[in-house]
Amino acid sequence: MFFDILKHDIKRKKTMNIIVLLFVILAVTFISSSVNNLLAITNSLENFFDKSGVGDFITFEIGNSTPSAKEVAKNTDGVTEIKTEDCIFVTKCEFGQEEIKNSIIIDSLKNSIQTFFDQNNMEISQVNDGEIYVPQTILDDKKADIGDSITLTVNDISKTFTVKGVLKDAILGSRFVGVKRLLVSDSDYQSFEKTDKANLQKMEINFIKTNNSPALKKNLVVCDSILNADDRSLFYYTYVMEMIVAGVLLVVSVCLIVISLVILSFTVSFTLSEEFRQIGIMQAIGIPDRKIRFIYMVKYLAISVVGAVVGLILSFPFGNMLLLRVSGSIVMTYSNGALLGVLCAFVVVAAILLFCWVSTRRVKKFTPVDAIRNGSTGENYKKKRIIHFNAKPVRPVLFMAVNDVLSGIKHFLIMLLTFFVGISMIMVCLNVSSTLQSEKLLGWINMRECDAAIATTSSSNYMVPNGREKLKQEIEELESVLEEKGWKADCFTEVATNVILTKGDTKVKTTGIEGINTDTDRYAYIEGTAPQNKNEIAITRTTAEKLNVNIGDTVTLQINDEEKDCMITAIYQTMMFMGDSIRLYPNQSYGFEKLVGLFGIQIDFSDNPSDSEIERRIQALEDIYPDDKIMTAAEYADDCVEGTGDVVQGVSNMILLVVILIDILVAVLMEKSFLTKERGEIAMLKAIGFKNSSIMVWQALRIGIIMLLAVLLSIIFANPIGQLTTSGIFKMMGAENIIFDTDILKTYVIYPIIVFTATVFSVFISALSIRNISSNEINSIE
Amino acid sequence: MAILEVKDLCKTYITNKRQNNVLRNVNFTVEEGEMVAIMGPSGSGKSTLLYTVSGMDSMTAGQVNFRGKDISKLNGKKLAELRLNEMEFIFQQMYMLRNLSVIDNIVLPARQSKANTLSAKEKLERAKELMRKLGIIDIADNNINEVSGGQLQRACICRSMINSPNMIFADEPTGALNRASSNEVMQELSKINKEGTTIMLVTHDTKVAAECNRVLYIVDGNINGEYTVTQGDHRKRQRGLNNWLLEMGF
Repeated sequence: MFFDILKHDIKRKKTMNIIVLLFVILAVTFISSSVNNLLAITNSLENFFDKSGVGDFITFEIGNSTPSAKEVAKNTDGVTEIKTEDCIFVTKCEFGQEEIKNSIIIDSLKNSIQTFFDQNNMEISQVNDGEIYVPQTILDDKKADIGDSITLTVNDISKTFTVKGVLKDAILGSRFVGVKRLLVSDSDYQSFEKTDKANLQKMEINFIKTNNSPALKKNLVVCDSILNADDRSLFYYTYVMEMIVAGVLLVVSVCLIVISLVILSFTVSFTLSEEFRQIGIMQAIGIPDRKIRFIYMVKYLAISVVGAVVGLILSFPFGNMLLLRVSGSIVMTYSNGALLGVLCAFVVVAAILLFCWVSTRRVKKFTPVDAIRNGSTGENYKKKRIIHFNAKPVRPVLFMAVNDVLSGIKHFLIMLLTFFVGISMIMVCLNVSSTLQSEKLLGWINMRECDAAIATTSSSNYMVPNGREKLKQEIEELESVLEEKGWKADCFTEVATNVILTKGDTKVKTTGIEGINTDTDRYAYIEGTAPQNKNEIAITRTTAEKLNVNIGDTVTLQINDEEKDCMITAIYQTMMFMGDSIRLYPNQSYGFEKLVGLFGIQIDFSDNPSDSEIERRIQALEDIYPDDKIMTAAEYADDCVEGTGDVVQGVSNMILLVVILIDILVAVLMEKSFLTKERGEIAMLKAIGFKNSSIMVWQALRIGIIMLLAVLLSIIFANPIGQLTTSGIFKMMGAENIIFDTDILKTYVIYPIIVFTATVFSVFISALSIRNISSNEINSIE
Repeated sequence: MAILEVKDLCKTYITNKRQNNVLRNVNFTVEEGEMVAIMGPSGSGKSTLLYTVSGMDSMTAGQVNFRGKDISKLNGKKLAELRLNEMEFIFQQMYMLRNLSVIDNIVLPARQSKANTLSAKEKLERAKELMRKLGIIDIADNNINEVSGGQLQRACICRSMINSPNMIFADEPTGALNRASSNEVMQELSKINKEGTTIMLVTHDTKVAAECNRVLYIVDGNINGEYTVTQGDHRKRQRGLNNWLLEMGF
């Protein structure tokens, strides 16, 4: 008998059972792949760094200083080994006609301490002359591939190479690291070394083994030639974006599991209310409630086990697909995937069974009398209707739909919640993406707002004794060119240099940012006022906390060999340099020989041109400077945060697909349950002359109204939810106060319309089965 | 003038590869303003006949003309319009939309009908007027689960009358009601009929059938006999009908 009932249930509620099964599959696929990916990335990073032999602490040094990083490390307690390698800065790097604007260094196997890997995770043991290995991020950016040609120039020497493979470089391989490394053969490397020694710029990388990183970091503060010096664990953070993708997927998975459980609860309740007669009869013939519940437990055990197995199988290709992007830069060595996947699947099955057991408690409330009295256990006075037809000039199907929603909002809550969570997730991602791609971002990362920008060539061009003058002159020349075209504009840029701040006994090495051809008033500050002279600085919260200082405090500022006392006048935020920097007053006197960074040249047109005019001027500038990359302000902002906006946009699109899928499944499930419950009413409507199309519109309208409510709620709450969920990530990147720059059309109109249309259309398709309900069924419907 | 003409109507179901001839060459005519009852033993095809002649179910062969229109030639859309504007139904199960109040359920077909040219306000007034006539105006704003079966069936009659149909089909309209409610409902149906609406109903109850002008007796899908109810008081009418039914083997 048990199995007869089970068979009957599986047959009758085919669609609902399939939807529950699909949810289990989705939940297991997502949770297994995201947990696996997150662990795979973090574990593989550890292994990757170990295999690469990068030690515990890494320093990057440009030029000579006294003392050098190596000397300081030697005299620091806990340091057991120091290995050093030199890399050559390239003056120009071109893929065909397209120049790579990153700072590029070249290395060779003989010269290198670090171990490199290729696209197949194999250690690179040989590079032939004329061949080169290039990081995946460069190939992606330039849409280049293995086999393409690349031309490198170091001062007067130019050589063309064929891309042999992808270079997996632990410390410089992430898209968040500005300096990129290319690997050439030993003889090619040596031929570049033969260039004019005076103009040959090198970077020294030290790989240090130590058990006392904090002490080493503190001691290294005195080395003013250090570009960057950090414990290797901090380099893991450069792969944060890869982890964020896996993290977002984990959040989606948790939402999916919650939705699956809610759907399950709904399905169980619906099934029980449909089968009160069978349950009543079973009770009447003496079958205990426990055994009746067992029938449903068996059914959901079967569904969840099948779903878990299928989901687990799917999680492997799905996880690998997600890892594709990451595995281009990291050597993936994680191998516990299967075991962890099984564990995740087991957790999902256990959660479903537990929930099912709790949901079937309702069986206890049924009595044999229910079966006899057709489910009626007495008077049932519901709340009065909220709305009435009266004389309102409203279409009956619309009225019926609105009335149904208002009369039984509880029945629609699952849908409302699911739609709301899904649409909110999309909106939050879109808000983050549009903010990261917005020109307003410039203000929030302490850059001056502008209309356009020109990507500069490598900073090494200006790291010469008269570099400051050379840069200023080039900016003035650009202003003249623009003026000749009739476009009066302010042109300016930013340079970054290493500085040391001292307050009492605390010394902090950080990055000093100086605007060239602009003044400090043009930047946004969280607190305080802009520095007004060379003895005033603005500071980020991160740096201020390291030094334990605040606005009004005086610190000693050391740039190169020059030392002076400066007062802190403002606090600002930036997502660059991991939020650790200070802003200097312009026209400082230090030379550019030890610059650590040069930003693009920004253009602020004085005549407030329209967007289309700016676009036109950018096109004209592209003709004047064909070798340079000319960007809009928004493109420049995205460039400054290393294209993070694009990554988030990709995540948004992925979430959109998942949300559409979930919404369709939930909507179809609910619609099928409504059709079962309302079969009599539908037959009656047909009998009194309602057309199939009108009844289908009524059914679809209800879901449409819920979707509309969800969209409205999401519009209201997307911002606070976004602030709540993403502030941590932004803070980690150095920005504590980000106000989303919403692309209203895309976020509040286009994407919701896509979800709305897909969901309501799927409901309409499900409602087509209304055509099979005959009006003469009315007297035979229970 | 005939409002409904049924010629050689056949209805056959195929169940488990076996042919079941539910209606076999049924012929009859219903004149405008008549009140006709269909009686017969269980499974004789009464309800099938009602649903087939009203276009709610398809016919296998034959012809049904409703006000001169062959309903077998009408598509689903036209049939729906016909049911909305020209014919209405009353069922044994008093189905109404559970989320609408009683009056909203009644006014619903009027709001859906494009042929009904009254304004929304006038439609509402008509619904109230009908409810007043049938003595259920007090329950206008009630939920459908707050009223008795008799009240609900009278509400269904109001709904069937809202678009002033030419004909009402009723399938066991008193089947789910107690005697008192049953009497009330039949009185209302008689009144509606006297006001000019043609009614065709299926019933087991001779008391109900005695309210009609004519009774068709159906056995195994064939109309075996036709009885014109005698004039006079209700008892006399019922006695005459009972005698005839006894002769027919009911």
